[in-house]
Amino acid sequence: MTGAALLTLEALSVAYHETVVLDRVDLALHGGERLGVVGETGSGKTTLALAAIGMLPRGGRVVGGRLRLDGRDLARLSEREWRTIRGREIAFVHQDASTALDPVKTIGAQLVEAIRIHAPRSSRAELRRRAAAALEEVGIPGARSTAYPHECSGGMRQRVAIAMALVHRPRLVIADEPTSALDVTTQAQVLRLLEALVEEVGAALLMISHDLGVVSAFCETTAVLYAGQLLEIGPAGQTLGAPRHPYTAGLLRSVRALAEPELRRLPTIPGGVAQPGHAPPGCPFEPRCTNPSRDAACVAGRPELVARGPARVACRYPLGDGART
Amino acid sequence: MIRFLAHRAGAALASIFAASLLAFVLLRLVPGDPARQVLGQFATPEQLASFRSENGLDGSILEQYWRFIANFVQGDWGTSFASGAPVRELIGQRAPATVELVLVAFVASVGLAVLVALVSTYRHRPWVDRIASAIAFIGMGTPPFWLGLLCLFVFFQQTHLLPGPEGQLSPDLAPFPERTGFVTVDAALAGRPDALGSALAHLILPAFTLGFAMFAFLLRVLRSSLLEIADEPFVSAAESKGLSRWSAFVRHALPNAALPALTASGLVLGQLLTGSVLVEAVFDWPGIGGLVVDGIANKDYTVVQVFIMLSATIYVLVNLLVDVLAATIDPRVAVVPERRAGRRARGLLPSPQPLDPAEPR
Repeated sequence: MTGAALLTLEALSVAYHETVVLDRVDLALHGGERLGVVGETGSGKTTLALAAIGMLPRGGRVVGGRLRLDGRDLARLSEREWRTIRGREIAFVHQDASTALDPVKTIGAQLVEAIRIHAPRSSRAELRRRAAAALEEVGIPGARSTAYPHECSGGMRQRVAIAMALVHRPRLVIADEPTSALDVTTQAQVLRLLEALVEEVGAALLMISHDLGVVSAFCETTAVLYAGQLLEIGPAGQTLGAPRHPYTAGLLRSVRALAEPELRRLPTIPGGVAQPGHAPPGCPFEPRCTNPSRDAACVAGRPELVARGPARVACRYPLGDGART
Repeated sequence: MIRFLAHRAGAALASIFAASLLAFVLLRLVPGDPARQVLGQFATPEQLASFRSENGLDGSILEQYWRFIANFVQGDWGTSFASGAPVRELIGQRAPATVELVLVAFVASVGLAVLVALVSTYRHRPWVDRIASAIAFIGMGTPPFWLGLLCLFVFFQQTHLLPGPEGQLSPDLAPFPERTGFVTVDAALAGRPDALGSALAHLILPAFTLGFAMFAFLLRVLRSSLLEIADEPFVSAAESKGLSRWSAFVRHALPNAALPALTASGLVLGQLLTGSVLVEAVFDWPGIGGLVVDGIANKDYTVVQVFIMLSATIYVLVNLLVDVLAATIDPRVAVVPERRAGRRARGLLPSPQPLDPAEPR
């Protein structure tokens, strides 16, 4: 990692009430970089996204560590200070645009609102012009700005949401499963558009997904979250091609099996994800780990995130290069 | 939208027709002969016949009904049996006081309900929540006339903070010219701050008494729909654009939650119209209510008839307006098939999931 990072998480911990759901996560995201965060349901990936835009749900708060944007600690910001950052420096693309757009306002009006929040002195004509331009940018004719969300297709709605997120040329775009509500063909279009626009405005992308295929296709870096802890982070090709952490390997095996029809049984990872707040004191994955070299040390203490080649892995006995997955 | 409007207007006309039947039948349901009832035992047959023809009681039933409707629409509302004055004149004299009272009660209760509902729901604060639901609960269970008496007892009899049941103005006030019939407006036009103050002070208790139940009902409806909408992703999506929680709530949650409350406010207006009769009686308010109470007591059926027709017409027109407003706020109301649109607007059906033929699901 070279140069100053745009977004850094330094041992960031988040808890809902007393339950720790994100446990000392270290991450760095550089300007223009695309990072995919993968994990199962309950791994803390959505909490990570919400913490990064300061919108943890009720009861959630940062209980430790730092969250820096250009060195500035966001975790200590007041709500008022956050509002100057949200939508302007950090933008958020929600999972499902059919529920993230207000059903009773036209898409144009919602774009105008998004623009006006951070450009309050603009004239109405100027706002309308910018809204139309933002729509054109995502391939929607400006004249469609009078359409209501229910008059748009699912792909169009998500493109509107993307236009809205990028309208202030943010430096960081957080996308929480931006295409999981779309069908596969639309998914690819929307992702390509998101990628192109993020690149065009020079923003960094933090993409939350449970879809390893999407992450490997659109992100440079992959981070694997498990039970609130970061297990592995590295270049997407490396992490998903030759995973070092037994959990990543298991995750990949279960996905790849889908492409092999002759397999009778779907390989699964034995056991279930630890309940939030009940992660074992050692390696969180240890109870389910099938790595033959695991030992008492795995149970006793949490492994540090250690550089292994281009990746960093939180495992005492990482799988070797070229290990069969 | 035009089809939707035509549909709604048709339904409104049908409702007014039904109300007119009710008002018409009322007079015919009077035990015995209304002419005999009014003129008494010793009336001559000639007197009875002339009374019947004057009041549209001769001819066949259909003919009578037709004449009743035609006269009503043309503004000929008959003469009061009791005073002999044209009903239209009687109502015209007293309407402004009632309109003033109902309007103030309506605006205040809607405004307060919206404000309290927003404040009590935009953030999760259990104790604010509990207070608001307690207010709503108490308000809906309190009979207006009892609330009126209680208010008079506390604010007039015990503390003398507000004027008692003496109508719209203090009796010892110097007179001022009547221009519009609305006392507050006239006082302001006459440049009489003392009269305006007195008129406003006299409005507080009756308006509160009349509006409290409506405020409570709207508060309840609006709160429950706001609480439902509060967790919708588009509200937090608006926040993620940089809006404050309050702005996101007012701009996005409120318009989406307003539909059931809007429909409810149209329905509650009916309660307000009938409620005003009782409240006016309690506060000696010189409005239509007193006229109706006297009309019922004196078997002055023409007055009661006209009151029924007028309230029904106002009620139906207001609800027509509500439907149009609902379609303006939520464009989906006018888009969906008409037969279900009305039920959806009344909050009985959930909002439709948009179907998009262009997209396979």
